[in-house]
Amino acid sequence: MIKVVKSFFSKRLSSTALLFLVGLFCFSVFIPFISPYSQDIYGSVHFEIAGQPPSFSHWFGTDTAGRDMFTITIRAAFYSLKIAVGVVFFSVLVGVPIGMFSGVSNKRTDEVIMRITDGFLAFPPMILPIAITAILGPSLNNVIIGISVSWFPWYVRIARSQSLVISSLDYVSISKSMGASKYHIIKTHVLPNSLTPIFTQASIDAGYAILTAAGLSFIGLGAQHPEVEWGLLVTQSRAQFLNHWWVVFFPGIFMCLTVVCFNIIGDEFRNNETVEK
Amino acid sequence: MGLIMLFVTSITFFIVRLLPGDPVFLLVGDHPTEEQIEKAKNDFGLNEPIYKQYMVFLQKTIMLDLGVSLRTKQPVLTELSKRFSATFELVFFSMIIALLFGFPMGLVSALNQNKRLDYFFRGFGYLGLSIPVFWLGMILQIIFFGILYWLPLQGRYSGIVLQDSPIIYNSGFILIDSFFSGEWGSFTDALRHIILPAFAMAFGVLGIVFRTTRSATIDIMSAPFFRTFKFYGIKNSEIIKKSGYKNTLIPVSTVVGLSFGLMLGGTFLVESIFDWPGVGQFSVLSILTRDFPAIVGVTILYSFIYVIINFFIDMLYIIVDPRIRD
Repeated sequence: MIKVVKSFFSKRLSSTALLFLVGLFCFSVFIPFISPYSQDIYGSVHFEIAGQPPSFSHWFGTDTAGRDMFTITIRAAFYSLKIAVGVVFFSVLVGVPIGMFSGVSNKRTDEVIMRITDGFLAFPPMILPIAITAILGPSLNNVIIGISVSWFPWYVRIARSQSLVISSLDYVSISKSMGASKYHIIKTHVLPNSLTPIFTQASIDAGYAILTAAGLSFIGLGAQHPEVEWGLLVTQSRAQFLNHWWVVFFPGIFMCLTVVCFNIIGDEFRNNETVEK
Repeated sequence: MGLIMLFVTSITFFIVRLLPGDPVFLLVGDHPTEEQIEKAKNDFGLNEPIYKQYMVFLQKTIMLDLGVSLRTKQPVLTELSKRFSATFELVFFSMIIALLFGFPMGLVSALNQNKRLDYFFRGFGYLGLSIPVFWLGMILQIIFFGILYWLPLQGRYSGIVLQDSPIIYNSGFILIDSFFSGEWGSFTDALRHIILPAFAMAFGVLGIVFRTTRSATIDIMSAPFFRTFKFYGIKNSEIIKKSGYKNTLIPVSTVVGLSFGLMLGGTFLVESIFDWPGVGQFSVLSILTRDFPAIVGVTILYSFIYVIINFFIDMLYIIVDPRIRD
């Protein structure tokens, strides 16, 4: 794992991607203190400067309520990244233990767990989050719950296949024959050896969580004011977007860049995975 | 397949029932009176124990009874089947676009590995995976309608054109119907309407198809049979053209099957941007009005379609790959 992290930083592309994400996060945390238009984040309106194209004083222009697009776009990064981290965190937290348990359990337990998992995977990607947020009501936290419920099965699968592979290795069977418990095998052998594939999946999923959450916002099931993430930001300006391209363009570009960065990081992990073997 | 469908239905039922929130309020809408609540409880059998409700729900789903939409007061199944052809047309058209571009791009990219064209295509593929569908739709509208005036903003056809060259509805698929009734005016009009939404939907799947084709082709190029051919002095591109591409069909058809799921999810967004009168748009309206039976109906319908498509893709393997046929 340390080797993976080391080689990760030696690559220019992946370290740039990571730098971008970390930089964006820090910037989004501090933007309320730096920006001259920080009150716009909390929803103040200035109709006298509404709908201005990008200029020196407003880098990304202003929206139809006269809010500075640059400030609110950067601030929205905070909530989008929060969704990404939250979804990945909960999916891993639920999926990985179930998968590892399934992998080291007897055949029948394994079969039951895997069939239920398959049931979750039979839903098309957006459908389950839509159904869940529709029931729970739209909010940022419910979006995180909704997406996590539909994604944890992937982690069950990865963790299970890893634990199947690893527990068939010689040194693990020997450890088993010496009376090691399931818990011991998971903790000392399976978990450390399956971190890389889990990280691969997690970083790619983090990007897609942002896209899915944005999609949910777009159909009115996502985050609500004042937790404006990029999807909601695009949606807010939907009525006037044909004459004001900048109000949809910039949040979208940021979303796109962020997802690309998460993908690059994930690919880097995956390349290392094959090297490791 | 039947088992998976049973699971899907069960998971839907338990999610609806186990999540916090009284189902009565989901069924009668906001601000009901006491009588309405009592009546709904009786009508929908909510006073029964949960396992009985579960059995009733399963029975009804098997009989394709998805309940009555609160918004339109019509059976959900009728509403969905009315709009199904529009969605079907859009999804399939998008899938054809994605395959038509993604597959050849993958082959070309693999043949020119680590050259400029490869990098360009890979960047394009990355972009496809990372662009938010609805954002792409809006940007396309700004460019092709707002600036260039080349293509219509939204909808499935223009009423005026349809008056001039009326088409006989047989299948409900405007493209096919107008093509076979020979009304070229309507055909080109429908085609012009479908291009933008279909491209917006196809872009993400295009990236997936491209990546899969590329990596599968690269894998094949180190296979023994490939090296033998090369040894005979046949060019890489010739080998791919004659026999190599067949080996990529299995992984590609797998991702195509999975990508249908992505597209079905995309219909919610794309249809509501482009005002496409399909299932996705209907569901978004239902979501906004908290029309619960409709949401559950769409969830089940889409999951069933997804399962069925992937079942057929599994069948397709046998046709594509003779080795599985035994």
